[in-house]
Amino acid sequence: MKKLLEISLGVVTSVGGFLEVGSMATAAQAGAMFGFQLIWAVVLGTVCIIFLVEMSGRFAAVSHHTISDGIRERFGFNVFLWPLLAALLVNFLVLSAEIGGVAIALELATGIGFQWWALPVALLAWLLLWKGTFGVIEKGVSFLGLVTLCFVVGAVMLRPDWTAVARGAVPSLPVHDAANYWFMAVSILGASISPYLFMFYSSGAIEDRWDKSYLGANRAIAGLGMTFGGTISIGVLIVAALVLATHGVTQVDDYHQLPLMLIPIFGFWGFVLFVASLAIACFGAALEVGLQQAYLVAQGFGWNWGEDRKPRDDPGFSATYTISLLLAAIPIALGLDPLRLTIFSMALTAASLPLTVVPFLFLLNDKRYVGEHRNGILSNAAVIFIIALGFVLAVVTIPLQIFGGT
Amino acid sequence: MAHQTPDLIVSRRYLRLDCLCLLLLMLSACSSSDQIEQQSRTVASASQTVLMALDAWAAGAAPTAYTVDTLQSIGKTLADTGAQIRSAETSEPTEQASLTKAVNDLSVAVTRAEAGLQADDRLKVQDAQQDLRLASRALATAYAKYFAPKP
Repeated sequence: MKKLLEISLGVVTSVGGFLEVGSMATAAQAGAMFGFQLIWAVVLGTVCIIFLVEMSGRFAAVSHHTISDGIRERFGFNVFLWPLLAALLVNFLVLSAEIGGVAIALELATGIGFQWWALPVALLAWLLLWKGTFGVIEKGVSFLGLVTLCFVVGAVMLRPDWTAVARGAVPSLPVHDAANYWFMAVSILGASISPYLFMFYSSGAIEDRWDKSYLGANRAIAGLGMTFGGTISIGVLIVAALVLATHGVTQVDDYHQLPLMLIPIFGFWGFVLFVASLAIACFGAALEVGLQQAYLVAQGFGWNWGEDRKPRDDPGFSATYTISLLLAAIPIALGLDPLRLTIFSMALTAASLPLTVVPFLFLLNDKRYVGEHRNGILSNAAVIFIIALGFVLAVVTIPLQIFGGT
Repeated sequence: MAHQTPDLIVSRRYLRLDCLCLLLLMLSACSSSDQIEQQSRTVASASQTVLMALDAWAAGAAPTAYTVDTLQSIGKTLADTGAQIRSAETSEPTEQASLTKAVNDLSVAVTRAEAGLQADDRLKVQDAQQDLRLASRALATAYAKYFAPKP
């Protein structure tokens, strides 16, 4: 009974924590411009993240190491430096975009420019990390994040042609704007297969003191939680296709356009729900990415770490999330458009995938770490596929950014 | 083949240069046409965004501050895109002028709607909405003429 409760709690937190500014913006842009045609990218991204999250949780539960720990220990610091730098850079951009997402929500709610909100948002996030515990961060904000389910409700209320939705889940070639189409596909994959997500998950498993008895729960949380999370992204895409595209709004390059997705469905409450969804989802993600930066650096340099410790017991860890939040708030405070930053950072996330995913192939097959719980054929095939996909994305991202980037 | 006169070599060089110029001209003409197509679509999408935002405001579903901000932001997009369409080099100046006029009309209507919102003058906003719809139609017509097959 206790396990079932933990699984339910884990699934709920995964669902609540899945949607953030990247998945919301990319799904909205894709739906407005290409209708249901890019649903396959969300589905593919979700399947990939299910495998990676399951492996991260399994690795942590069996070896009592996080993924970052494992890479540093198994390959040495010099090899670990490359994924560390790539992840730090990508996470920095994502953190900035998430702070921007909350700042936009506050601008929409108050009419005060988003630039003015960047530092207060970073300060509030810092305060929660400084004073809060892992449970508060993980469960509290994720529970509030369930408000994002309004997109799924909205999508159902719009009564889409489900056959057309199912057709969108099958990859197809673009009929117009090929460069934009592929750029959107890359951005959706970047938003779905975020390295911070699976790295944070493995650190969370250590924080929650998982052991081998959690392997079943891990599988259920990864599978169900990510599937339901992906469903919310598809909900955003369907709503954008049926509301924005049908009204002739085919290009979403201004964040003021985003609340218009829910207003025709829920009226004024649509505006409120959108602002709440954006603020909570992005704030939750900002907390997780801020913590992930600290996990990465502390685990990389072998410092004390843990959100449940007092800041004086892990000063390096606390200093890292403090500095990360402050630095990430600066571009938004200087007026950098959060929507553009989001799309750019999602594409770059996709390009950095090989560096963070290649080590899975070695770590999850190393008996010294995972013993009898090594990867099976299916998991190894999935990792190889994700690595290949990551290499393709790394090669095509920059040309597509030039020709198809918004 | 082995004994080409200097005149022939020079004329071939000129021919290659001409071909290169023609190719560059075609590429620039193509990219300018693509640019106008892209910008026209941006304008069309932006004008529909304004109409959606104003409809939401009129129905009491969107706060005034948000609607004003949206109009200001989209107004900037319209102004920038209008300037790009105006400055683009094209072989169809008449159609380009029609497109530019439609974008200008949209910009004027957005500014009027914004003023109406700030003054909380519903009638003025409704008038501006009407003008926006007309300008959107004019844009669609100008776009269709610009890209219609020429004899």
